[in-house]
Amino acid sequence: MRGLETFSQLTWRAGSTKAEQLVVAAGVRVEDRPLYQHRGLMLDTGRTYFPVADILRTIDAMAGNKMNVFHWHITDSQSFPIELPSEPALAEKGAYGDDMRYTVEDVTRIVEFAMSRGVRVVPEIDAPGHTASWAGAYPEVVSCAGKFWLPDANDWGSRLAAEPGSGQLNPLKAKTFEVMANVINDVTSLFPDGFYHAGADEVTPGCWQADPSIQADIANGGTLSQLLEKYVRAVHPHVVSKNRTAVFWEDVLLDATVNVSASLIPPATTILQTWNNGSNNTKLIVQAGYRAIVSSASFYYLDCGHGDFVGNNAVYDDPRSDYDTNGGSWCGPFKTWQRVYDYDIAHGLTAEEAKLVIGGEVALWTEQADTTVLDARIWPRASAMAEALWSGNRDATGKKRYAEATDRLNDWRQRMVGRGVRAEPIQPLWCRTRPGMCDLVR
Amino acid sequence: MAALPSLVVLLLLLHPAAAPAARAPPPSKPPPPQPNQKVFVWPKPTSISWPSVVYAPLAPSFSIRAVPSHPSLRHAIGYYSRLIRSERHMPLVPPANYTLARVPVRLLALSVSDTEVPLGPAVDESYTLSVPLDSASADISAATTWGAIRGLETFSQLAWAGGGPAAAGQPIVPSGIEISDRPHFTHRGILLDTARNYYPVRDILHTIRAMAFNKLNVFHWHITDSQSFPIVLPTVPNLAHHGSYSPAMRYTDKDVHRIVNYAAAFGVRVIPEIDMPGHAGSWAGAYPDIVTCANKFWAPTAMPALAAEPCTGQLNPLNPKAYRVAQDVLRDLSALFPDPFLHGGADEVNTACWEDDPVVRRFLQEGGTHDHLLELFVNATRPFMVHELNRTVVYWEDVLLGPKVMVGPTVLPRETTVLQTWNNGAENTKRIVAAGYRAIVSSAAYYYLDCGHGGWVGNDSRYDKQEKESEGMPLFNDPGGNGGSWCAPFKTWQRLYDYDILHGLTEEEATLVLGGEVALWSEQSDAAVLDGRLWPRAAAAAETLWSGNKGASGRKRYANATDRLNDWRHRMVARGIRAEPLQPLWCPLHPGMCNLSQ
Repeated sequence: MRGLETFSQLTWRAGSTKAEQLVVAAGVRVEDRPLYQHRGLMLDTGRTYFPVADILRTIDAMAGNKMNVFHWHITDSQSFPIELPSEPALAEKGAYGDDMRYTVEDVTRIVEFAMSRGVRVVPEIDAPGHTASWAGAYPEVVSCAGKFWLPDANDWGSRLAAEPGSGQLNPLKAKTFEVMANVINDVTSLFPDGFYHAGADEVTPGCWQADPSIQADIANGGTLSQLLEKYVRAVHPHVVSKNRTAVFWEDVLLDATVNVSASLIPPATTILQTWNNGSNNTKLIVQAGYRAIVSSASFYYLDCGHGDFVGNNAVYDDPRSDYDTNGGSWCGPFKTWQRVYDYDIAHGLTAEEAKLVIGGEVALWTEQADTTVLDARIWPRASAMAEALWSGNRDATGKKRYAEATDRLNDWRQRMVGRGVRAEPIQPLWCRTRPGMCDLVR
Repeated sequence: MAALPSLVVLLLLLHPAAAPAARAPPPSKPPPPQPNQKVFVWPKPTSISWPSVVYAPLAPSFSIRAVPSHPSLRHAIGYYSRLIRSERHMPLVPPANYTLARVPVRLLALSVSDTEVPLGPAVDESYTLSVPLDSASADISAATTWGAIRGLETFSQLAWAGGGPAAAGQPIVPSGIEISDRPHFTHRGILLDTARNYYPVRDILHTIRAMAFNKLNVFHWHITDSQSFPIVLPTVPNLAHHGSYSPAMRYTDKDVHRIVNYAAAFGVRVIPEIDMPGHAGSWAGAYPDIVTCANKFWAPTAMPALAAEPCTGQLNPLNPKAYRVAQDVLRDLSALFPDPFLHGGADEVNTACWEDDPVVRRFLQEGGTHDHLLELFVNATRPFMVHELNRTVVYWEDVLLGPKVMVGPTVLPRETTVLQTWNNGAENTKRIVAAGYRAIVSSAAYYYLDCGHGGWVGNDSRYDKQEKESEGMPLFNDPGGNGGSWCAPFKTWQRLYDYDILHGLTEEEATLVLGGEVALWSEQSDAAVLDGRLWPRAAAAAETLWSGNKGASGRKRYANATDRLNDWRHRMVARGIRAEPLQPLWCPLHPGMCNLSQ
């Protein structure tokens, strides 16, 4: 399949408009293989629903870029859009609407289409944090659901969630594990991939601390980390029992406040996905013996630099210039394609450590994106990562090849637009026909 | 403390015009909560009275008529009849608990006092709209055709798909409602740059339609720049033949007529800009001899840059042929665009580019200055635009404020010059009006829609940093850094909404501010992404310029606007505008829950 894609890109239309014909490079021999086995895109359909057609088009575009993992962040606090046969109430009460749910047929269609393009689909059901949407069906298992997310705007520590929409599964309720087991059973039977992403990012102390049963537990000497351990101790073996490798966000191990002991997440059956502190956290993960998927926010988060979406924010009502601020985006500035392209995901690792880095994923969190703007948020920046993870970002002499990549990416973006993907332009058209003239340094 | 009252008296003496506003004491208690009117109109009208929550269905035979009829309204009536009859808007949080009137509305009658007033600067766009209780007809009355068109847009937004079976699938509108509406500013625009990247005609028409939805009334068409010259001008067709990106990427005179007529039918003026003498590299294809420094690398090592960004070229003020061509361009332009304003550009004149030319160098060696060169240029083009073409000339502020190359006010008579500001926020607006000029506000720190998208120039090693930036070093990639965008960060809709374009001006100075324009420079945009770049952020500016950004209490109303803009964005998408979302859908469905402060 990768070879077919390459062949398709070797062809182009030559000749005049009247005598146009498809030509292909002759006398050419291509030898090719990827540097990294895991080259993915994460799409969040929990903040915002995306029609199936968008997902199929995105997967198709991924195959065009030889990317091979669609990490589907299916649910979040804002909505629970997937219909699970054993737990139908979750989508019934947690999806945005009847027409904003993924049925079993939808999922099958997506998984099969992805397979036909050589793309794996790794499902993520984020828990125990980011689960307010479960409260529609099971209010009793969700702590702090329905509460305003930031009781004191001047005290970030008081937050009940990292952003609006608060709610976390309560590990003290037996029902939590009953529901979770059904969810894992259903999701692993819908998605054949060997990985199951269990989330576990941003467990927020304030949310658990707002729950009376947890308050009582803490009063009896319990800790929040113990609560998370109770959760992981039940979930991790269940995932493994389904013959899956469990993927977690790095927080489960590295969060400063709420984390679990490494003994609960054996490296043999666990992969950690990093998003904070750039290469530092990748290093921490692989040094602890885990395989790592790299999604560093300062390189690979495609939503960054778009300001903030939270309302009633007086910070914008300032007559002074805002040049010195991040404009409200916690991970600003915007990551340009060059920024994405230049990232060395094995930076600072020993050769031995680097072997544990299985690859990377660009991520689109969708607080500020939906079907109207999906393509342009992803493309062509995801293409920049796709090349860096496939054949690297350096030329034969070992020099970073971003200058040379500019012209090629201009052309590839145009081809993607021709293929029906509304990728954004990286430069004025003028630059495309004058190689080098739009560089910073000649 | 005791000094405060006397200071107030002093201010009143200095600015008697401010007295009425100052006389009202500040409210000691917060005003009583407004009844939740559930009237979804963007931009919010100046005044709405709707005593009881009653809706009336539109009759299947609903029609719009102008009495007396007038040709300039024909298109708008046709357009809005179709829109109102076919649109079935369902608000994200639909109103509940309302009464449905029994008498359906069959007729919307328009009356216009003076149908002859042409579309142009300072035209009266006021209107009143009323849907009387238990009446089969609604009315819009306006001073001009253009006000009537604004009223039609308001009426279209009043309609939504409520009423249940009793409405029989017909849209319903508030009944017993009176709206009296007029804009704060007469100039409310969007600048679109069609030179860095080309936009097909249909994208421009589509954008103009979306502008009318938002009661914006000026399409500032930045037609040409150094990268391309896409407009075919009858007298000087070679400019486009050699300067456009391709034959398919040109605007013919037919295209221009279509755009101008379409815009006029929606009450939108089209102000053309041919940027000169800077930003003129694309002229060199047809006339290499009149352009200095054309086709050179823009940022030569160890030398000053030849242009503000890649693609160099400036008209040479010492070459008489430059003026012959420029005048041909301007004459053709005035024949194509009827608007009384003509934008002459004049931003970012680059000294190094001129100095690249030997004739210019000799001129400078003999005691000439860069300012003198610009003055030559302005004197050879501006009087022509004013006297021969009968136009008010709009320039970017640079022509007066520099910083590097500028001319004195004597060269720029105030009665025929308008200056458009883009630097230094409110400060430069103040400098412009303090100098006696009318101003159009496009402050980059608020109104530039392209900002915060990183840099687009290639071979930029600054992105190739693997480690966190060390303390004490200037930030670039890390939070707080601009990521390569000179005008970062990205301007969120709240940032645009909150801008007071009169900030820091006296009452007198404020009268010189015509209004504002949001701007989309197209280095990183083309047809693939146009809608999402413009909308809904341009809508935020549209409301502020139309009815302000403050509630009745005088407080900024951005919190209240959030839910309304979510709904309006939802409606725009249904109208075919691919506006980007402001928030997850969860937020409008849970009003107030996504605020920073409860």
